[in-house]
Amino acid sequence: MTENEVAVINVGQSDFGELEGQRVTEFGSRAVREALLSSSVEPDDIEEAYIGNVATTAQDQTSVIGQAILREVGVTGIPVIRVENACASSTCAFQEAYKRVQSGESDIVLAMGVEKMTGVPTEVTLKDMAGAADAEVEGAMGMTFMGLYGMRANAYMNQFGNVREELADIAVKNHDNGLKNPRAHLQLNVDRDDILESRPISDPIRLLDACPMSDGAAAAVIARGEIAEELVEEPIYVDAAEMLSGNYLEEVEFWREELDERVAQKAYSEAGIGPDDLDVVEVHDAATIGELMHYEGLGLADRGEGASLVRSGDVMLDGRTPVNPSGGLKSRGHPVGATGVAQICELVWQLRGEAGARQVENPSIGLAQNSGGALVGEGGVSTVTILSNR
Amino acid sequence: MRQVHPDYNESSGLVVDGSIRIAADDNPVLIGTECSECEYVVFPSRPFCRNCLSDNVSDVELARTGHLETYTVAHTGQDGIEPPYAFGFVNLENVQVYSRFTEWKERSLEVGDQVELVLEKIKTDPETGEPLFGHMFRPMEEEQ
Ligand SMILES: [Zn+2]
Repeated sequence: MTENEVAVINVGQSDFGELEGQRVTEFGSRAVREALLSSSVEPDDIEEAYIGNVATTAQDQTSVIGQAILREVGVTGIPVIRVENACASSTCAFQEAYKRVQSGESDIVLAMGVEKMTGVPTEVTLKDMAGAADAEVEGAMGMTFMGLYGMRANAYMNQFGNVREELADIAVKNHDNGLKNPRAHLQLNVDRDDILESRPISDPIRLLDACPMSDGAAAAVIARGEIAEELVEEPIYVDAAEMLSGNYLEEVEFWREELDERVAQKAYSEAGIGPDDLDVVEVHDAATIGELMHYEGLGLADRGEGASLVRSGDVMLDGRTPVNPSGGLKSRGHPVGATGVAQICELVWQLRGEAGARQVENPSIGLAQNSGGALVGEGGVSTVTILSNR
Repeated sequence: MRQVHPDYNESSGLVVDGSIRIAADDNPVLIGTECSECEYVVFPSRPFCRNCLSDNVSDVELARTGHLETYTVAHTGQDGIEPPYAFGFVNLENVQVYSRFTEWKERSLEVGDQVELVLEKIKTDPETGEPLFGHMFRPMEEEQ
């Protein structure tokens, strides 16, 4: 196998939100079109495409969603592969694309994610989501995804003490960032009390701790390093792309992000860096406790110390390691199959200094963490991708 | 206190087939699978061991009491389940089991609580309207 350097040439993203009146192929192709137009890559240059998506088949739309979207932008006659891995589907698509380029099989590959979640019957959407957990016992006996976050939060607070206010502050931070992101779904001006007084969903998780269900798409064109250097002024290099499943044969420690710890370790070692080297981070904050525990899983803070990053302001937009400058899942929204590549988009914009009002100061290394699904309370998949502008 | 729901009888449907039965002493007991080669225990039952792949396995009765690993109270429902309802994970010596909880309003739940198994109505079958039964745990009285 030839070990090639791999870089992102360009990215594109649709608006996230309730995209009423837009077909999944429309906002899906808008994301790809933006990625193609903002570089000198022609539709014919794309050699393969990987697409993350969870629900279009169950929604009776199409099971060839990748082909249907790419037809709209003239990308045809190539291998198109759909990747379904719960809320991490499109990061997994991105990582497959990365491996194809890294191995020398292809020079230019497209990775994308797309999801339509609004405007379909709620029972269909909830059924799509319930499918991301074990259906035999947990799903059949009433476990919900926010319930999993509630269980994690109660175990965490029993172990380390009350962090309820810091969780609210994470939601406030992400909404503040999202107000600076014109493509974010929930544009909310909220304070700590708004979060703490919102209606309970799954104790201690409240409505404003949880991400919304959104429509949206995101795309990234990646290439062998030397080709990327020819095609764009500032290629963003992929320094690590790792994913792992849970350790399902062992007892789960609900207060700890053990799966994150393992995948982050692999990614740091692949990239030759550590958590202190990160300048900008996007994490999977489907609920606020998720973000706090990812701080610890990624080594930004010691176990039990995640809340200190909120108190010190380290994770704020102007802090030492800003987390979720895009607004995260909380504000940008969570069209499940599109979230992973949307995180990649944000890192690319940040590393190129193109993030507008939410730009963090002069970053050179960024990390994205994306989670998907669960079995017996342990994550189905966690992914870590590290990008840099060299 | 009775540990089997009064409406439960031999023809009642279970949410998870074969996961729970009435033992000789009229109390419910959860059924898992224990491997004869490596002693790994799994719930619900399986035809072979996921730890060593041996099919030299047999049914095992799980402990009827354990401690609460973690829990939550859900305020939004799922088809056939009326909110609010509580669920979480219970540690039964050698296996972690997902479960709903009952009597959590009377005695509020805390991580580490001792809990005991009961056979309860879990939800209404959305298709037939009939109740479906299965395991739940409830907080035990304070230790003497
Ligand atoms: Zn075995």
